[in-house]
Amino acid sequence: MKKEFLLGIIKHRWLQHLLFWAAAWYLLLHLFASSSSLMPIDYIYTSVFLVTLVLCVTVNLFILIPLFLARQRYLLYGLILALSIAFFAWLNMLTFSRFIDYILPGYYFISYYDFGDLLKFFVVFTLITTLLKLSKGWFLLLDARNKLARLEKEHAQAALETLKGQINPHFLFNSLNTLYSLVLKKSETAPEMVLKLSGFLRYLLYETSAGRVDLAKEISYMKDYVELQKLRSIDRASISFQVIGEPTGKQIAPLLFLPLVENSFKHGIKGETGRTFVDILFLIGEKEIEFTAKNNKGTADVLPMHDIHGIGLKNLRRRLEYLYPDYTLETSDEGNVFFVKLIVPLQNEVEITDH
Amino acid sequence: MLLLIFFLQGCLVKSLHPFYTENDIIFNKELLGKWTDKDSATWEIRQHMRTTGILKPDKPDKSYEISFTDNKGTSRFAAHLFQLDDKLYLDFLPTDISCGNDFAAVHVIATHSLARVDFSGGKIMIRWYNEEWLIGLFNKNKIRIAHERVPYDPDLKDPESMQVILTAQTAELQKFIIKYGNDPEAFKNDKPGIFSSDYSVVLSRK
Repeated sequence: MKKEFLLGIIKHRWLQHLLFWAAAWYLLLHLFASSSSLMPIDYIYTSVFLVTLVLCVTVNLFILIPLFLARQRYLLYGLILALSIAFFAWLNMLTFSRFIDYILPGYYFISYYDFGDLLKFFVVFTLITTLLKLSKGWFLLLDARNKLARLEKEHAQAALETLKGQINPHFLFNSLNTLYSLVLKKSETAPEMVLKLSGFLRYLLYETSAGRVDLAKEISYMKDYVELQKLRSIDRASISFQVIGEPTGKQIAPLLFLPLVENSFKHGIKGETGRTFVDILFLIGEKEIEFTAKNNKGTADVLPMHDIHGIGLKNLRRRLEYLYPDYTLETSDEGNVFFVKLIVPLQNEVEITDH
Repeated sequence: MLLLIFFLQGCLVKSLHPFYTENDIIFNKELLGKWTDKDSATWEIRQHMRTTGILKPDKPDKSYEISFTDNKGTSRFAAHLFQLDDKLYLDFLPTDISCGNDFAAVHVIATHSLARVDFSGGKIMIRWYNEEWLIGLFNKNKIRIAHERVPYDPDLKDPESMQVILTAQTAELQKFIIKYGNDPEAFKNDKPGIFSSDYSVVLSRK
């Protein structure tokens, strides 16, 4: 509310100027009072005095700052500003010693301040208004940064949604195909597969919308995913899923590992070479988690690597850059083995609550 | 004497600060001597002697001591002749303001008054700053100079009967005199005052 009010004032330029000069007029009126009580002549004097002051400040704000200060020509700005201040102080002196008799005939005014005193007035007003202008710029910059941060967050959220959108149809289609063949064979593993599939889809649909999820739960559903893949895979495939360390009480952004795990199965198991394998390892430390996935590549790897090299990875990287700027993502592709390593920092539940 | 001071307070422009600075002061020997006005009052003008030490002789400086004597008594002033632009002025400051005893005297503040001075044909014309004109401008809100209004009589609070005491600094007073000293009303007053016919007085050698 307060911020919106301030932004409202900042956006209405003429309102700010009016408010500032009204306050300045009021202050100067009391400073200039020629006796213990304010007289109408003091109102006239203050108003006329303000004219040259307004001109000086306006020239600085609308000409000198945009032309010189904003273009980082500091020395030139300082020089021209000093000359401008001296000129308007002199003009103020001249106004009350000469011009006032033509502007307001019948009134008796003199220039009550000498040039040195007038310079002080003009310097103070120029300094205050320049600082106000700069602080206003800073405030707008802050607002722009907040907007950018909000956009980045929305972007990351959109990337997550895209990721989920990419996984679901593909994964669901394959799983249902596998399930179909298991049901045809009246396999005993069919009910278990339905249960795991259902649990995994529930997780995808309802629990991954939060910014952070329990690491234990995330790993548990990665395990379910691997189990589902195992049911679909050929018998001779060697699949290992290992967790070292304690995931309980730690938090992580959802579905960071899924594209990498899915990719391993896509290229490892489907490759169907002599020895097919997928090794997945979660190494959980106090402050970070290291995920590694190693898999064989298919025969001449005819399958496109688009997910890891294409949109999937791009989305993952974009999310990581926003969520974990200090992340590490390494891939290696040597011989028949593809290897990927992801390291991200962990937050425990207490830290999340504090934030 | 008390009557004279009261009377003087009621008709001259008074200022807390002098109208001159040390740089403006000039000394003109033509002023020295005994003078008389048309009411036969005596103006004795001497050069002021400045005390320099107990055992040292007094030294003359560039100011005057004026003794004004009429049929009501004698009053004394320190006067400074000074020039602003091409015009000569006298700043008067009463030096003898004793009012019977010391207790009363410590309550009295001496104020400066200003007069234009012209030498012509062996005579001196002194014209006081027109208080009536100045108060008129203050009442019409046409003039801006630091001042305070105080009643002549503490029991009378009528704004019209207030006297004006200028509180502006010397520099400001001088700027005002230089700029508006030529105003035909500034040093002209036909209202009968202390010098019976008007606020100006012509002094002739006695």
